[in-house]
Amino acid sequence: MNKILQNVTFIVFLLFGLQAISQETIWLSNSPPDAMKKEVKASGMHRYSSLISKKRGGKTKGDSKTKKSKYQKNATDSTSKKDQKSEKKKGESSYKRPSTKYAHWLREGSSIKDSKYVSLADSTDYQLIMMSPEGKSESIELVKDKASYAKFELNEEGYHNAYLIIKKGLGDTLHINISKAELLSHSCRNGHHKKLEARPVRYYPEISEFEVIRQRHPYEDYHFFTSSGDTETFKTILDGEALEGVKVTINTEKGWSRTLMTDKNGEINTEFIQDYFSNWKELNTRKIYYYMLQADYTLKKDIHYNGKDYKYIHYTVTMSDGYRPSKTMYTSMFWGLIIFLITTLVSVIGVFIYKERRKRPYKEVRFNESNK
Amino acid sequence: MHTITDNDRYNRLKKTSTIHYNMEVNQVLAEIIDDFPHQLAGMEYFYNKFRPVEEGKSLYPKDKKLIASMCIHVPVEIIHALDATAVRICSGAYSADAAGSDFLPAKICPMVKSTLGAIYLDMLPGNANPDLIINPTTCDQKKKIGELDEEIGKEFYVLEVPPSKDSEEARQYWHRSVKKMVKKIEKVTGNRLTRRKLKKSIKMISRAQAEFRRFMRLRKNAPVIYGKDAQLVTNAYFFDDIIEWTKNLSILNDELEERIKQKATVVGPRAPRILLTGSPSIFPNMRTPILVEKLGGVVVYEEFCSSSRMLSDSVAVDEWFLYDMVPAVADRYLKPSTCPNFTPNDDRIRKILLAMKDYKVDGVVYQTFTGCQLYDMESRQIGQKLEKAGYPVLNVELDYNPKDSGQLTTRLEAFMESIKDNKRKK
Amino acid sequence: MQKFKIKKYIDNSNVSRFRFWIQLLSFFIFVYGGYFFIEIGSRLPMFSCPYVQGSPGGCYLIGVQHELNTTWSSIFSPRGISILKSLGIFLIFFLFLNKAWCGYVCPLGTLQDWITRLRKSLGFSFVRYGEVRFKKLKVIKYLILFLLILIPLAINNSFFGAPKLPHGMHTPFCQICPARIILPLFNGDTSQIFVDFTDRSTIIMTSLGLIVAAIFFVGSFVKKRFFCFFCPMSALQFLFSKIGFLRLIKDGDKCTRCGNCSRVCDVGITAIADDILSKNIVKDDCMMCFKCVEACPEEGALKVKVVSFDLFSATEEGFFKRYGQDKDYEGPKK
Repeated sequence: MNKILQNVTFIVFLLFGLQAISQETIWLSNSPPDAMKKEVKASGMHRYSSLISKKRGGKTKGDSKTKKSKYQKNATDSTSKKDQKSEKKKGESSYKRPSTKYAHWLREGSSIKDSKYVSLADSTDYQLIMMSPEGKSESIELVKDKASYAKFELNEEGYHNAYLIIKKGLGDTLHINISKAELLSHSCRNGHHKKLEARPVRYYPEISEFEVIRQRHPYEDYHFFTSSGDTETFKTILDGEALEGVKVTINTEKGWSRTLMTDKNGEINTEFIQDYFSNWKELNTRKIYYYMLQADYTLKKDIHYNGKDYKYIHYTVTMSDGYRPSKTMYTSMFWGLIIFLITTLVSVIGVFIYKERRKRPYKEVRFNESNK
Repeated sequence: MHTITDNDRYNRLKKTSTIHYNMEVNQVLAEIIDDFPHQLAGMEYFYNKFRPVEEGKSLYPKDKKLIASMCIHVPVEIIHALDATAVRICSGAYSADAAGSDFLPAKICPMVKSTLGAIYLDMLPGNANPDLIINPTTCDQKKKIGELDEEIGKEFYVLEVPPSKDSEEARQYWHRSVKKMVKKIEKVTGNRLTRRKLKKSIKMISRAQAEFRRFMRLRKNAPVIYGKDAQLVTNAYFFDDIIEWTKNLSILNDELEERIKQKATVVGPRAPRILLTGSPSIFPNMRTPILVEKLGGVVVYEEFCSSSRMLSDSVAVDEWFLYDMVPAVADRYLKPSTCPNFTPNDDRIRKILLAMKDYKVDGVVYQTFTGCQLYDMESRQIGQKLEKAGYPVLNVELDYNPKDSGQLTTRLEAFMESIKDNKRKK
Repeated sequence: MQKFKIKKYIDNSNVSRFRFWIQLLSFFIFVYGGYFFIEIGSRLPMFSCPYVQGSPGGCYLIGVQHELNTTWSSIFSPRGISILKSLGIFLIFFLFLNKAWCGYVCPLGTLQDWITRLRKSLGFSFVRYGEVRFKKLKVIKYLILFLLILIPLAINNSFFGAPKLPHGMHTPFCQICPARIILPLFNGDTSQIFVDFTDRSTIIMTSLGLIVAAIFFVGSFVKKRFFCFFCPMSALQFLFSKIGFLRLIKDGDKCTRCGNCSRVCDVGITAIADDILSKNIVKDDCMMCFKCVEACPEEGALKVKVVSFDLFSATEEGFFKRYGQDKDYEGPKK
């Protein structure tokens, strides 16, 4: 009898726990849903997609370069009316031109393959914040559509952080789902000023107590993008301090996933294994494979929220990014050296022959010997 | 019967010519030294250089080969670098002219006849006995002398000079010509041309040129030296030891600087400043400058190949290796050359006009030797351009015969008077 | 009197030696300066390559290629003002030193000069271009400049209905430039020696880059400043060279056409000697190293001026000090 009770309790708890686990994990994704693919230009390098605007030539400083898209004719103007008014940027002329809007979509699920595009219920309590590289708050709004997305602009050069914080109380636990996105705004045409300045990664304990960041490589610059084969370091932070013992799961578009625990520095090192082996004719070096990182942590803490008391807080932080095929797949230093050495050899021989020939008296004037 | 052999004839000719030559030299030196006031101490060395040398004695070191050149287009740096003595044997002696006339037609440039005669009779400056005579193919007359080598009994080497200096082909031709000459001299002297020696030789000649430029700078100011003396200085360069020459010129320059400070000029401020150009005055044929100065003028600049043209334009080398030094030396003898044997020769009129301005010249005396076609033909163009620029020009035709001086004196006198008048009017 | 003494000191100085030290300093700044947080700007008028980790700035050509890699509509919109603005910044840098950026600052030029020194110390002779070849080869740099402007435009726009060029040629000159491959080696970075097999155009361009780098080494060994003859930056600079502040002025009347200047010229310009009519004697290949002024023995024939102020002139005294006078001789004082 006891055993049955134990099992039932276990199952109940399991279900309860499963329910807890299977609470919607919302994350911000760069790739648009199929329905919107035509209105969007994905720019994987900078980790955001831009909404194609109907107006021509409308790009502000700090934007990516765009090609004239053949989708432009079909673009529906999904920007709301008030965004049609342009904003005056400091130092620029007062010509009114529309600025570029970027988007990240909301998806739900713990694995990339199975994640659906969701729209937030109206009753959901959420906060949407965007921080500039200098730490100032920027404008960002949530567009409630069949597939909701966050819409924002990027006006400064550097890494911007977007946070979507959803709080939901369940039982005695307050579930806080923090969907984070790190966006890079950089354009080579504006020059490279602070290339080597070691900018520390920014995190904002005042916005979200629990956070995960990707550690920068030494001498990393704004042209960096993870390649398969690279090792990335992620760090979890609670209240501004590194947090040990957090379970971090990374799962990729290709299907593999990995779960690690953070060490005493709060860091995990994960290698993105080389999993792109393609015939070089079919190689697409611009293809980005997305991954989603999820970190869960439960904190025993008394908190009052929305009129209720909770004893536990369960944090879930998600961040999505991508990786490219590694350079070793499509570049060859071996061939490079071969070409270099052969050319050097041929030119040295050529110069030598030329110099030897000059010693003989020359007969450079040649006549056309045909009879006419 | 005592038959007169060729040898006898030769010896007699040589004896008489030598006597005449000595007379000529002494007479001219006397005119230069004694007929003018204002003796310069520094000129003593140069006067003595021209005194006739005793028979059997030679001014040149006996252990070195002697290479004679007949024109300024022979690169002298190379001769010095191969441990040989370089002597320019262009002659101004009337006594040798007579001897040379035996081999050449009458209406030939007297300088060429004189040089040929001097070679034949061994009457070269300082009793030079050349092991090789380099004959550049510059003017027509000079070119053809080389064919008389068997008759004269000396070895001539023909140095091919292009007739134009502007084209790339001409320059390449000249470089090859010089390189061939180097090989020939190496064979004659038995030495090899090395980097160090050529570098040293270039610097030695450069040093001499620097000193000469200082000399010319001093002549720009108030006239502290006569043109006749200046020409003796440059004529001494033909055969003097370069280092000695440089040293003594430096001493002379110091004296001239002193005189400038003391304002001890040789002529008054209103004396006409004359520029001489044309066929070169070579000692002892110094009639023109002597006459000009006897008539109260002063020669401030000579555009002669026996004077400024020989010592202007220094060699600049980029990499001190033979593959760059030899072409650099060769270029210096071709590109800036204002010899009328090159066509076109615009550089010469530009140089003269620049000198007119820099040396504040009042008038130009353009002398041509009878039979010198090149200078004769250029005299028209240059005369026109100078007159357009507002300078008076006098064309005189000369020979080496000293008895021709009468007409020359009259014409020069008239010319100088007109210049003096113009100056007074200003 | 003090001013006169300074001028005399400058006129007698050995500019080539001074230039060696300035080149060394500039090389250090532009290849390692970034490591010391030196930051100069990104529209520099010489090859301060951004592919070099330690570079304190960027070469203007990469900016041009990026900016022109867009559609006509973007260029002719007010966005096109940024193209003019960066041209303006380039000009501000350029006008101060005129083409002396090439002769004194460019790290690629310095590298070629060092290779020339190596050749000299080994005793090999150099090669000079003949007149006909000189004229024919000169055109190449204008062609490269034209292409580096045209190709990024052709990637985004269709010229006369022709197909657009592949995106793999996005910065065409940077892909073939030897500075991209060679200068990072000084930072220990060999990552630029590769052939990119992404698509046909990248294969061709990166291979071409390696071929150019190999020819660069061999060419610089036998000809002084080999690459400068084909450099599009030089062509671009020449378009604005007349208004630069630093000038090289010739007085044709004083010139004897002795050819000393063109003999010592690294690039081999004969017009300095032969042209007696022009005043501003900076030709399109000139890199304003002023070796010609050093080699001229005629007083005042060649002058380096800053607008109208004489900085360095050819003087007789200076010439003989640098070339002729040798202390071995028991010659008395000058």
